[in-house]
Amino acid sequence: MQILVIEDDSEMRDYLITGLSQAGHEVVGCADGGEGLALALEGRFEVLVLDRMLPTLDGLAILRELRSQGHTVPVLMLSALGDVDHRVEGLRDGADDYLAKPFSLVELKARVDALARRQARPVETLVLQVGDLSLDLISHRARRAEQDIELWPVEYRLLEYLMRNAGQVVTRGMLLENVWNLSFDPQTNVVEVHMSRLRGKVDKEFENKLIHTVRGEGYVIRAP
Amino acid sequence: MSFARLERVWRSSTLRLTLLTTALIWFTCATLVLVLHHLLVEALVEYAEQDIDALVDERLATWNQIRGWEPSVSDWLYRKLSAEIAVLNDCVALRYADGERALGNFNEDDVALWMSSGHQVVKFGGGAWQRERGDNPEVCLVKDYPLADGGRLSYGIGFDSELANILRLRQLRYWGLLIVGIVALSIGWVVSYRAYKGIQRINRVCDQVASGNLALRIAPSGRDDDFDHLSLAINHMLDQIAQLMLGVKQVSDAIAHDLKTPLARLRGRLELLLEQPERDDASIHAVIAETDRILAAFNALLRISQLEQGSQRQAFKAFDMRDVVDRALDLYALVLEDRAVALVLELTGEACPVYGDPELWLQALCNLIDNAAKYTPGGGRVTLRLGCDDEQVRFSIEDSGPGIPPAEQHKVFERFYRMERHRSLTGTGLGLSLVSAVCKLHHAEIALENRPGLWVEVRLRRHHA
Repeated sequence: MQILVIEDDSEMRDYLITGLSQAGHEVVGCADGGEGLALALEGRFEVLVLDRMLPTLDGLAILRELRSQGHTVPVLMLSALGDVDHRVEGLRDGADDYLAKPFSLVELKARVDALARRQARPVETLVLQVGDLSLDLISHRARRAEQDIELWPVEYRLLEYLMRNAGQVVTRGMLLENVWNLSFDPQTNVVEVHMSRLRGKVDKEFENKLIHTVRGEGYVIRAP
Repeated sequence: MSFARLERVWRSSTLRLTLLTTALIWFTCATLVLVLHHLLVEALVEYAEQDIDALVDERLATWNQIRGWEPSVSDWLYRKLSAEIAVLNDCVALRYADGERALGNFNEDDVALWMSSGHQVVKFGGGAWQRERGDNPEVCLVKDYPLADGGRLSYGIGFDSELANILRLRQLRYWGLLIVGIVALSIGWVVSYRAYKGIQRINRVCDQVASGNLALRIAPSGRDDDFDHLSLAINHMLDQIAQLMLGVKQVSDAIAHDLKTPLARLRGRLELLLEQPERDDASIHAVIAETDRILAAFNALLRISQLEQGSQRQAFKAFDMRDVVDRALDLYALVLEDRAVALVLELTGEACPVYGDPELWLQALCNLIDNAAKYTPGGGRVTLRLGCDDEQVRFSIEDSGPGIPPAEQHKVFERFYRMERHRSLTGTGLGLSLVSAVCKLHHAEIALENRPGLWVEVRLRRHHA
């Protein structure tokens, strides 16, 4: 995947480029806002990683310019100012995701992957399928091996998010943001508790486990 | 004294106040002295003038009676006066209409004193023998009278004692002005010295406070004047600053203490990792997790200080507190169940509209529930209540844990506060500080009690659209 990283801090830029390259992406780095915008407008990148604070042209301005010219390339905004308001501002101005520094490479990679997938998603399906597990997006019914699974609303949302990102790691932060719509980390084992409940319902009685914990990274659901 | 110092003295408002006061008093008193002096001199001259007028009138009255057979008044006067002049004790001079001096016993140019009124005081110039008699005057006040035939009579009477008085008055006037000046300067100095002392008193303390002695306060003079009020205001300000400094110190001490421990632990782990011959992913993950905890504490600290600055109000909107409670339950219902803590809900069915930032309230509520869950032993109970009336919306969280000793209750909102016996539990010790900051930002009240487990209630104003 071709990724453009616009970040003025050279150490941070190297960290991003190295990290994303290791994950098999083709990464172009750029330190200047104006230059970055010109590169982004070429349209060959699939994901943009954009720092909020940049010399000559700041991240929000680049974002607005891109969107006003009709570019829908997914943008992951980075910022040292990790509070709610900046997050809200970034998302409102057309960012697809927002990540506050400092963050882990795992988190970054997972989010970049999620953005790329979202962009590449085919026509909206009505049923999500992973192995023998299916989730009906209309009736909110989950079935595995011809058995109905009773889900609480929050469990349904959790499973839906996992299945929409099947085969890809989703991090704790992504789950908190997307399942609970939280902008802060509650510093408690909310995700773990819900995940173990969900596993109890989805995996417990089956030989083949679908939901896996990726140590230090997050969770993934995939067909055996 | 250097120029800069002079400049400073000149700029000092004390000096200016002194000069201004002095100038005002001096001008007032000087005017009084001058007016008084003028009036006294006038009076002296006027008395003498009246006497001269009477004498001249008397002489001319004779002429008026015999007028008709004499050639002219000047000639008549000449004859009369030339007979008298040798023994006359008054000054007299006669000029004809053509300006020729007919006779006189004083030198018109020998003026002893010009009066401001236009009169002149001349030296009496009678014959030598006249002067030897001793009872004739030294000087006279002279007045001019035009005569009917165009001549002019100058007549004057002795003015010695008056002149002496006038000269004495003149001297008195100078002394008066000088004394008034000194008095004015003294008053001005006394007035401004008090101001100066007051300012100095405040200045000295401010200087010392600025140089580090923050405990120092200005002692009030007890006069209850403006300076005392200013002193009180400054003392109050210093108290506030001291309070803030104490807060900052507590926070930085707490940061130093609470973040040093995990950092030390982190360092130890890294050293151990270095010793290991093979890569140990589990240990590396543990190190990363430790770093994340430290970062989380920093984030929480930043968040609290952002909230305390009160600059976060742009996200404020009207919302229903029930939605926030629902979202919190969405997060925590299972967590409590997982910890074998029963959750009791006493929630109102009515809407609870409030105005504020719902995300912040969600975080505050999560922290409260999390806190309650953490200190409630398994098998215990957490009760969540939400209610409202016309004025207020209130929610409370009560647990069946051990509560907080009353002596420590005021400390729970401090950053990094954790009871000693709970030091081993995970958590940043910032949860309740954040709750407190959110309450302050929303002008909400927070109360806590042991019932006997900890009961925390938050009350905020109901929003009326």
